[in-house]
Amino acid sequence: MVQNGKPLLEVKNLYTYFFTESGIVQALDGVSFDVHRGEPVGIVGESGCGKSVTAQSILQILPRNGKIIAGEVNFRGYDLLKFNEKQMNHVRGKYISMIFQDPMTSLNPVMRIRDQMVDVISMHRGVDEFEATEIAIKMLEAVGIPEAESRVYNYPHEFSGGMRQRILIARALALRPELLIADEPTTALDVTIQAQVLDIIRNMQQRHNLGMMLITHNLGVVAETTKRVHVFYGGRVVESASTRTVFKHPMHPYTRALLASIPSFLQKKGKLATIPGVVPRLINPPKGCRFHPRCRYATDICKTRPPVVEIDKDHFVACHHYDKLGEWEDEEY
Amino acid sequence: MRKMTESVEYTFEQYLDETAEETLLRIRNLKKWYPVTENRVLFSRVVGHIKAVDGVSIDIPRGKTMGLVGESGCGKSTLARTVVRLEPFQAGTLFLEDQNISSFKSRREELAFRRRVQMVFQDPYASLNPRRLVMDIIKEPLDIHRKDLGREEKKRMVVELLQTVGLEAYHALRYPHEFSGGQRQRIGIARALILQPDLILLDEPVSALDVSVQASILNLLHDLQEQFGLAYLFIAHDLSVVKHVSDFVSIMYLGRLVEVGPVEEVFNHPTHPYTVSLLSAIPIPDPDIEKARIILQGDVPSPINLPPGCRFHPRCYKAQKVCSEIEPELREVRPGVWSACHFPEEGFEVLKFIGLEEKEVKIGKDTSTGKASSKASVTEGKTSIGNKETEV
Repeated sequence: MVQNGKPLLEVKNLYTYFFTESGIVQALDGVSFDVHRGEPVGIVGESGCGKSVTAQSILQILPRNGKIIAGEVNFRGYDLLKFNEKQMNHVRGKYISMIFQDPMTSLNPVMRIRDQMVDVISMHRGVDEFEATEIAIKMLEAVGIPEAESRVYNYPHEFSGGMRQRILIARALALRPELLIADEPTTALDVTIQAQVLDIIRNMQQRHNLGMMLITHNLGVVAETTKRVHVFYGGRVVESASTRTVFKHPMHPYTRALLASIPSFLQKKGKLATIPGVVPRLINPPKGCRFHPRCRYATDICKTRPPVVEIDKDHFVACHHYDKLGEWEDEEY
Repeated sequence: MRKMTESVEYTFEQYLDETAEETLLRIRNLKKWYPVTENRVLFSRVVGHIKAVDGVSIDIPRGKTMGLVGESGCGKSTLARTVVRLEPFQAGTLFLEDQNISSFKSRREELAFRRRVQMVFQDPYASLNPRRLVMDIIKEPLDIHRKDLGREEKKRMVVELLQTVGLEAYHALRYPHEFSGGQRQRIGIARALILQPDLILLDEPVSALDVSVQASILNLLHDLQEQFGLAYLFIAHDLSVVKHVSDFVSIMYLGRLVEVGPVEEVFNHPTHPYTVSLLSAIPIPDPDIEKARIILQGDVPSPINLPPGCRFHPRCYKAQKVCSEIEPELREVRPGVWSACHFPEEGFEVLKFIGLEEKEVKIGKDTSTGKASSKASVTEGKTSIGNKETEV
């Protein structure tokens, strides 16, 4: 799906490093991607691949030892990295909202839901408390909290995990942001509750024409919710394309291996494909393509940084050997 | 097929007993209730019970895998912990083959049981002692159970086993923090294996792992089962994983079994509305699928305050008046498939319903053909159709 015009969010060559006692962690190493207005985009990868750091870098909410070394984060044409803290506070919540993985720790346990929402709403939308309460109740109703009018005065512990995640969605959307970053929004939830929450996220995304970055390791969730996918590995984007292309015609060996390792609902009992080796440590990452030590197609050239190749309109892959796909096809991936 | 009658003459337990030849572990009517107390100044008073496991019967056949599925709080982990007696239980009986192991008469009997039944836990970060070497962690069961072995012999066994689970001999002299999550889970598996048990209870063994690591652990478990003839009780909430590893499956809801049977039967033609909803809720990694799904309303109720009648009826799309009055018992709905529902589904086809059909979904191959029409009409109530993916 190619969109015309400027993207809503454009991340260009982003480098984020963490300075730790044991060395410099190159968490993001030249990450580029964009999100268009009204487009749900998936960010996929395994733990430690830089998905969450990307979100934190965009909003500049990195832990203290994390630093953005270089790059641009263009949002509606403005480079957010040039903004000062006060300007960023204006952007956070109002223009870019975020939902976190753990619905328990993202809500203040000693504040009523109303107070937690009203604070934000009245500050950013410039309305008085009563109006803000009304907006809060309306948002809670929209995400399916029963009896929102009375439950808005409850505390977080009085809600279940699924309900709390709904509250977070309501709070994130109360300010009518243009971009929603959802970092593993359903990972902590049960499968039936996950289905409910995803349904709400999808509905809200469509109704408000939100640009959305859905960060997850669950490929099923990505397939059902997004239109475009960026696959992360070792702090870099290794493949980006439309969701359908990534799932049906993946070009990067890592994407292919990742897809093959999911137990399919149809697959009979037997062996799953695995990826040899372990995820690289980013303190001392492999030279060149970061996947090459685990890649079965790696050659000497892979020890140099792979080019990002445009295979098709809107299909990018970072691999030296992507064009040998035909030869690989018959193998057992 | 036996007749389904309102009076339950032929019970699930009788059925299990009749088919018990190959059974390794028999769990019968197991009940584990936690008291809820109200604290006063000088005394505390029991005001109710959390019925975590409320009369569950499961048979685990020798050398096979029984999957146990349910949402958080349904009692699946409690069941496993109770079976290995990390928790005492209120009622029920346990048999390992013909031996009653509901209570141990002597320490020797208990040790004999533990030698044959071992457990692997969910969190590979919390289940290994951070201050002990891997060698000592894996060797500990031998120190307790195999006093006949010499020191060198035990060490040799540990090293051998490390290699069996895909680690190296030199890993024995490292501490748990030096390993990744997947490697730690291998250490946990090695610890469970060292006594050469007959049965391993796996409590969410891959839930904390990334997909590619998960795949390698599932492969390892599969190989070990073939090599040693192990039986598994595989507890998980990921249904694709359970389908992949299990021979039989038991679905649990709020402390009770709702459906039991061979995994292919249950997952392809579920009869209990809860199973149907669970299966339709799985996100499928295929953007071509135009998916119909039943989205359950509400949350799992609190196990302190159970709904009357069928425990699932407040969320059920098929619920009728009788469901809130009479609690359904497990009944045989098809040969080998037991379901605890007043109105079980008949001839329900999951693959058709979620749009997968019988076609093979192969990664990297185009399977855009054959979009199944959603059969949402099968079920009344809250269904919603997923978005159709825009073609490139």
